[in-house]
Parts: sequence; structure tokens; C-alpha cells
Amino acid sequence: MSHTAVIIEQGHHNVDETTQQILSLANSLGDETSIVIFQPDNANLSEKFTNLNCDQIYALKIDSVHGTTLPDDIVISSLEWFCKDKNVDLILITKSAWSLNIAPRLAFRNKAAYAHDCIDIKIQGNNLSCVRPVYGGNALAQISIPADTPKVATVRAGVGQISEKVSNKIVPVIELEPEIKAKDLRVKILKTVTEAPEGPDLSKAEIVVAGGRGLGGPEPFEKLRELARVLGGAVGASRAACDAGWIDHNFQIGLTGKTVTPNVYLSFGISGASQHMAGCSGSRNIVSINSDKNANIFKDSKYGVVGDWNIVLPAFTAAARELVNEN
Amino acid sequence: MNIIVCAKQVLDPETPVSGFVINEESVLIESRLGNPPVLNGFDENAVEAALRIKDANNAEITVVSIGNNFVMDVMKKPISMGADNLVLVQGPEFENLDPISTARALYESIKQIGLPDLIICGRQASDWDNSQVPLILAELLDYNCLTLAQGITLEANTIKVERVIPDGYQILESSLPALVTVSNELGEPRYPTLRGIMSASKKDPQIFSYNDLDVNLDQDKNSFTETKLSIPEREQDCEFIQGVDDEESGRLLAMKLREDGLI
Ligand SMILES: Cc1cc2nc3c(=O)[nH]c(=O)nc-3n(C[C@H](O)[C@H](O)[C@H](O)COP(=O)(O)OP(=O)(O)OC[C@H]3O[C@@H](n4cnc5c(N)ncnc54)[C@H](O)[C@@H]3O)c2cc1C
Ligand SMILES: Nc1ncnc2c1ncn2[C@@H]1O[C@H](COP(=O)(O)O)[C@@H](O)[C@H]1O
Repeated sequence: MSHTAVIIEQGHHNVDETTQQILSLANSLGDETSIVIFQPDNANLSEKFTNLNCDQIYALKIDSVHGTTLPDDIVISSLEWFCKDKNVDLILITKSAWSLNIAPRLAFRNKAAYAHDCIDIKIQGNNLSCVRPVYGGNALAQISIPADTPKVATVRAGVGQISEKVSNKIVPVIELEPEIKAKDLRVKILKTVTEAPEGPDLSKAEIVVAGGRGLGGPEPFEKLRELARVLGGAVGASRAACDAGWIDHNFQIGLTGKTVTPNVYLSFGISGASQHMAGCSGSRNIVSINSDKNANIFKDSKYGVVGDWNIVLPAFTAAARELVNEN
Repeated sequence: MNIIVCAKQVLDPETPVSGFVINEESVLIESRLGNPPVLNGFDENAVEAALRIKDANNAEITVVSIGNNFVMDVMKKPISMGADNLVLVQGPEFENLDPISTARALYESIKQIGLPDLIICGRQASDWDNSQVPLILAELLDYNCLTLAQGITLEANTIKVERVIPDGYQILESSLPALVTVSNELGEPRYPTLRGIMSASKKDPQIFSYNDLDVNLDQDKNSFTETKLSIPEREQDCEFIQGVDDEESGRLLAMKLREDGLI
């Protein structure tokens, strides 16, 4: 009998594809599956999850003195308590800027083996076998963890098949009050400032138009925004373009930026370094414009144009505008 | 105040994809081009963060690294940027350690150097992309842990960190001592100065070996039974769209995507 718990990121209020994917993965790995949510503010949050395919939902009720955005220390202490209280064998969390701060410390405290940023997890014999990209995605590491070791794994967004649709049975919601001591809170969050960029959410967009160092400056990104508006897509960028200050870091796609899984990923002046592809290789169709016919990005692309974006982009945008407006 | 920066020598991540080979025996990736290693990029950001604190305060910066086969020019770069001391913890025992053992070795080394007010690390090392060592080190030392900094400010015994989060930032606050991880959003690391390069050439690192540390790495090994490396295939059959000139190529591409129902 093994128990897998899927932790839903704090502040994540929707059941999206990524949530369903990681839940399906959990169901394929153990006998019992739980979903764990945090309830600092929204008492109705659990209702959104109640027709998912799992055995129970644990709602961790955290004292409102900790605010609606929970400090890492509080999240870690409550999960540490939860794992011990409920005898969890495997913790699964989607890899994100949030879980990055939580998972390693949780694993360490619970003497669990930790597999970071996995793109595949399965049972092999008695072991859990995890595949994770390393060296920026230039290599894959396969690691094998014995059955009797507690485990924590983070899973890259967009990995896995959704195997079962929502069920009709109502899953029980069990409220728990984790033991948190006053001294657990050491690093306070004084302020959280977020501003969603205009247009569709990059991590959910069906079309992403991305630019890299080859664009040469900030102005060309205006042209990409125009194309994104025509196609109803979102704009993204490589780290080189963000580090150069041509576009804000919020638009960075890749290993240390956002993960996108659109239907179409259109890249202009991006070479296709593995650290960049780590954030977009889950795209269904990659289409690339690059002046270097040997650019790596063509190895991942369905369609490519070897050419100068200065000419290709305006011609492409004009034609796309006509075609999209036709009906 | 005393600052320790943890920095690591890594295979140059800019090595062309075709330059990577697997060393089956050591379970490591190597460059077949023989190009020299580099200082992990985020660790250069960490050095920069420490130097900015030193610019404004009275601070002494010690860089610590665990590893084997150090290339001295690479490891002395922080000194040439303005850091004060270099401690190299070296030996075959430290080759390719897992994150827990690395954190344990850092923990023992830092205890010997003397516990600092502030430890600054990179957010991840570009070899195994683990992003774990600093968090485990903070647990071992029982230090306050503030991650993904794009800015650090100090005031008396209080540290404030501006943390990068998706679509914005957070302000974190704690007392010292603390451990901070930094991200590239912090900004470009400064270039070595001529004076820095001179003092780096004169400065000898302090060397620790396995026997100098009170550590048993075998016992700390995490429980992965085996690790295998492979190089992924990345070969899509790219269909190149080509018109008489770039303008026509752009137009033809749009028509192709429309035909396929992609736009
Ligand atoms: C630990 C680590 C993490 C990283 N994380 C990320 C990450 O999250 N995201 C990320 O993107 N990168 C990341 N990187 C950086 C990554 O390795 C590359 O350096 C970066 O992706 C390169 O960006 P680029 O393709 O825009 O620039 P370049 O590699 O310089 O490519 C520019 C391309 O533009 C083309 N070009 C030039 N002029 C034109 C023209 N007129 N028309 C058409 N094409 C033209 C060139 O042929 C070239 O292929 C990371 C690196 C490390 C070490
Ligand atoms: N061998 C090492 N020596 C010194 N610092 C290290 C070492 N390994 C990791 N670190 C530090 O920990 C950070 C994250 O590394 P990692 O957890 O390996 O991705 C790095 O950016 C360094 O600051």
C-alpha cells in the first residue's frame, strides 16, 4: 500500500491541464492518492477539486496571521508535519518558482530522496525510476529510488497524459490543522507585487511569439507584440534578450524562466540553446526564423525559414493578418 | 561583516551541443572540445551581490568551493573581481558529489572557516541543475533562507531580499545570519579590474582536503541506487520554407501555417 500526495501550489486556484496531468501521474504510481491544498483564505477552494480522481483532498488550514501568501517556512513546516501524520511515501509537486523553494527543504527534513524537475516517472520493478534533464537539457539522467525510501519529486509542467476524465463521485475533503510553532517562521514576506502582462497568459497561451538576441534591441519586440495581437498569442523571449534589458524578465522562457506548452511556438532570432528549449520543447509545433541554417533550433522545429527576421517578420505578419481576417 | 560565497567550477554551458560526451565511468558530461571549465554563471552573480554589499559596507568576502581538478584561473576570478579570500576544498572524494554530500562538505568547511553573517549562493549549478545545495546548507546550519534574490539590502541586523517571482517580486525580511540564493535578474557581474587581477595572481588559496574535514560522505549519500546518463536525440525533420527572397519566405510560411490550421 503506497500513498502519493500531490501538492497544489499555494495561491493556485484552478484545476488546469497541468494539475490533471500530475494527478494522473500520481494515480499511475501508487494505490492511494491525495490532493493537498492550502487554505489561508479561500474556504471554497476545495470544491473546485472535489470531482477529480483521487481518494481524498486534504485542506491544510493555516492561521490567517500568516497572510494569504504563505512564507516558505510555514509551507515547509506544515508539509513536514503532514507527511509524518499521513505516512506519505511520495510527494509530487509541479516544478515552479514556488516548489523550487519548498521541495528540497521538505525532502531534507523528512529524510526523503529528492528528484528535481522530472520529465518521466514510473515504477520499475520495486523502484521508482525518474528521468530528469541535466546540463541544461544536454543530457538526461535516469535515477532509481528504492521502494522503501520516502520520496519527493517535482515534475516539469506539461509532462504526462491525462488518463482519466473528472469523475462523478464527490471526493471527501478532510481539513487538517498542521502543527506550526512560532519559531518556524523566520523569513517574513513583507510585500508581494505582481502585475500580469497584457494579453493572454504566457504559460497558457496557444500561440507564443518569441524573440532572442538575434533581434538586436528592444524595438523589434514591438513588432513581435503586433504579430502576437494578430494571432491572439503571447510574447516571450530568450534569457539573452531579457538579460540585455530589451524585454522584462517576466517574459523569459526556459530552464530558469517560464515553461510554455502552446500549439504553435514561433521563434525569431533564437539559437535554440538547450536551456531555452527546456521551457518550450513541450510545444506541439515549433516554427523558427533564423539567419543561420545550422542553428540548433531547427532541430526541434517543424517548419523553418532561413532568413533575416527584418524582412521575414513584416512579410509574415502582413500575410498572417490577411489570412486571419479572411473569415 | 563576514560574507561567504559558495561557488563552483562547471563545464562551460556554452559548449556547442555536439561537443558534449558522456563519461560512463564517472557519470559525468565532458567536453570533447577540451575547452576550459568556467565559474558557474549564477555564482558570478553571487560574487557580484557580495561585492555590492562590500561597496556600501565594511565587509570581508571569502569564496568557498568543493571539487576536484580546479583550474586556478577560473577559481581566482572572484578575487580579481574584488573578493578577499579563496578556500578550495579539493580531492577525488569531492568529484561529482550529490547535493546532500556537497552541502555537508560545505557545512563542515564553513564551520572551520568561521560562521559568517551572510552566505550567498547561486540559484543553481549549470551542471546537474540541482538547485538544492544552498537550501540543504541552510537547513544544516540552521540559517534563515532567502531565495531567488534580485537585490539584497542590509540594515543593522536585518536583511531584506527582493525575490523574483513570476510576473513580479516579493520583499522578504529576516534577521542575520542568513543564506541567500541569487538569480541572474540581479544584473551583470562586474569585470575583473587590473588591480584585482594583480592581487589574484599573488593570492594563494587556502586548501582543505578530505582529511581536514570532519565528514563521512559515504554515510550521507542520498539513496538513489543508480544514475545513468544519456544524450537525448533532438532530430525533427524540419521542413524549410523558401521563397525567392526573405519576403516571399515570410509570406509562404504564413500560408503554410494557415493550411495546417495552426494560425
Ligand atoms: C544555468 C543556465 C540557465 C539558463 N536559463 C535560460 C533560460 O531560462 N532561458 C533562456 O532562453 N536561456 C537560458 N540560458 C541561456 C542559454 O544557454 C543561451 O545563452 C540563450 O538561450 C541564448 O539566447 P538567444 O538564442 O536569444 O541568443 P543567441 O544564442 O546569441 O542566438 C541568437 C540567434 O539569432 C540569430 N540571428 C542573428 N541575427 C539574425 C537575423 N537578422 N535574423 C534572424 N536570425 C538572426 C543567430 O543566428 C542566432 O542563432 C541559461 C543558461 C544557463 C547556463
Ligand atoms: N561543489 C560546490 N562548491 C561550492 N558551492 C557549491 C557547490 N555545489 C553547489 N554550490 C552552490 O550551490 C548553488 C546551487 O547548486 P546546485 O544545488 O548544485 O544546483 C551553486 O550556485 C553554488 O552557489
